[in-house]
Amino acid sequence: MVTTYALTGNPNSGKTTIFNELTGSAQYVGNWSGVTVEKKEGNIKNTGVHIVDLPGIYSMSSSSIDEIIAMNYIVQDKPDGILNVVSASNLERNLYLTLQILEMNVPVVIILNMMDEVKRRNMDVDIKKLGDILGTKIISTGSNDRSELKKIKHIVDEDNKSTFERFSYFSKDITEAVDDISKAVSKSDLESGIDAKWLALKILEKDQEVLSALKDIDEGLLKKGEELKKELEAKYNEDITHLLAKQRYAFLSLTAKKVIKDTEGNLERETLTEKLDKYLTHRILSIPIFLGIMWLIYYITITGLGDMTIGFMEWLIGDFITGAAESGLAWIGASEMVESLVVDGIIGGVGAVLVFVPQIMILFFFISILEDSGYMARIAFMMDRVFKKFGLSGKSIIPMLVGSGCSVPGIMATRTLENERDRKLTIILTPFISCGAKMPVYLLFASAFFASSAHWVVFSLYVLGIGIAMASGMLLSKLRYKGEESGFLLELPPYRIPALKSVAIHMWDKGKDFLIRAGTVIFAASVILWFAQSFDFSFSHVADPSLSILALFGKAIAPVFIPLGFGDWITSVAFITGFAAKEIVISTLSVLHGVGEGALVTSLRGLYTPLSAYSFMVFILLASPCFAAISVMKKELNSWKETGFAVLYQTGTAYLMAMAVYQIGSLFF
Amino acid sequence: MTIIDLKPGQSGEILELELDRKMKNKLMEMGMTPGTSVKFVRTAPLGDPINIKVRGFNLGIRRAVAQNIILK
Repeated sequence: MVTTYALTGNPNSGKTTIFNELTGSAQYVGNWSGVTVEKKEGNIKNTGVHIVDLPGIYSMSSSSIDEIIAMNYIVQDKPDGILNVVSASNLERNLYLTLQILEMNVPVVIILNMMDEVKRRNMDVDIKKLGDILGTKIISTGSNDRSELKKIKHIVDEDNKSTFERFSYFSKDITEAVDDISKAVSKSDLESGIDAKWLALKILEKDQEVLSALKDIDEGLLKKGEELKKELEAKYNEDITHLLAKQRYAFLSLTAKKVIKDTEGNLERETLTEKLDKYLTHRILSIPIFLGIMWLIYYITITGLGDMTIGFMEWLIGDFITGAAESGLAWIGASEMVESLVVDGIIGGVGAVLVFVPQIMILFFFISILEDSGYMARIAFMMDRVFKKFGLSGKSIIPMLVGSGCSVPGIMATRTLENERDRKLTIILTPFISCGAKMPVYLLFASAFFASSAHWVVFSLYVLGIGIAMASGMLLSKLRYKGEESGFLLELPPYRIPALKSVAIHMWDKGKDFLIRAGTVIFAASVILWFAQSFDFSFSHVADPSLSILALFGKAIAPVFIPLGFGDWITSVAFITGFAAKEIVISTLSVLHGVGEGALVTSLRGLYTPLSAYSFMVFILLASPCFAAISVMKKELNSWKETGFAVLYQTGTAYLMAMAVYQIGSLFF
Repeated sequence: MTIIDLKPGQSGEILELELDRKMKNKLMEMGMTPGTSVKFVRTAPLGDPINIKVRGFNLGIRRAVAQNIILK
């Protein structure tokens, strides 16, 4: 029989690392039903033990999606037990969640993590005493010694029912109220496995989320709960939830004093993290340090290592795979049309995206180092002031930084934002940050039309993208995404050396995501595009692309772009193919002009003026992102309506900005 | 007196959180209950938010929130 344990713990308790340690590569990622919070599951190596990783949370209430997911999972899916990761270096706060889990009366095993951090400060935790107080088994571990974790395999097969005396730390009148309600809870109110006392506490707290999930609770019972709640709140002149928090923490302070061995008074002393933060979040020094780190990451990802991998991938796909496919198809005697579909359509389209996969993996390598080391939280802390001005939170900078590599992982990175309003806004704004795939388009146009000042032209586009993202944030937060401000609450965790295994798993996860998309969405888009450019409406093959379905379509929409400075069908078609992937814009232009990329510069000079070329680049920069980014926007926004709005808003902004550039520019040039 | 009246490095004892229920919930669940000692560590480079320390961990909160955390 499979034993299922749910893994819980505070953010920054090292829960993800423990999960990776336990499951290794035997894990898979999905979504919790109905929401876009990532759900990770896996098996402990060589056992029938299944682990479900619940989102990192500070408490078991219902104030965020993450907390609701965790609570619902424990209540409704009824795992055989809970593995609760507790950071020993931050015991009091971490045990708050533990108390709430124990209140649910489910089997619990505590994984006391970060013991090495505690010992490094010449302190210790009396594990036996803590286990006695909480009535649970405790496995202690630290990043330098994971040997104890092996015990988990056996422990989960034992009976882990806690002997903890629940609610003993609440004042007498509260425990009496809980008893009162729980006695009145009839069997019919209890879906199997839900604890009567815990339900009574939730009724007393009037936790809407729990109560609405468990329909059919007797009206009289709710009324009784409400009465007792009012009575207690009047007596203490305090909200019941706050009262409970206070009493739990009073117990935890006492517990911490009993179990933490700190003879030298090191608990109050400055930690290494605090020493580092003196420089890393210093009023003046922190800014050049931040810019230096960012520059280094982009230098390595884009020009250094990135260039090498792109060169390699281009050779692999362009020469090796294409060559193999061509000779293979020739050998089986495939027709020219099949060869064109495979080589130009599929390998060309999918390959254009695959080329970027190693680069994206390198970028994610650095990003997960930034995250796991604790520095990412400092970036958000430093930038919050700026982002607040534009209706966002400091945490929005993370998706945008990632988005400068590729919007797809950038949009996925918005999952770290707990406020739904901030999250939606950030998803819609991230594509304005110019992605890596648009770079080749700028480089071609800038060198063709602005030879001497090409770099400044490209730079101006990046700045324009950031400016439009900020202005849109301000506009949309006032008009469409009003809602409440997040308030920005961010833990600044201790700096830690990232675990290589976790970084590698993260990197591979993102790369895999990308490969899957290349194999599905991009594959389909490439086939459709190839078809549209190779056939006319009577479905007969055309040699001259200007007679194809694509050309007819391009000609039909071309007039729309006249105010922007270009009304030819090839440019219109390039915009459409740009939906498949931005870098395809160049190959579309060169194929449809019937010239190689070298001679393309000359053809372009005949077609555009420097002004309309700039207008073209502005449109490419701001217009709706590629299919892959749109599909991930849909996944993350979880709504076609919002996705439609985003695409229209982005494309509308692109149109207006490009038109403004062309029309206003025409007055001067 | 509130947290922002402290100088960097100074500590005070929480008396009351004059915040909306949701924010108050979050802060109390993170351990900022009345009677707890809180230290003002430093201000972010651009003046907001600020870094405080409670129950042994560091937290970034905006000034707008900090000025509603009343100290003894």
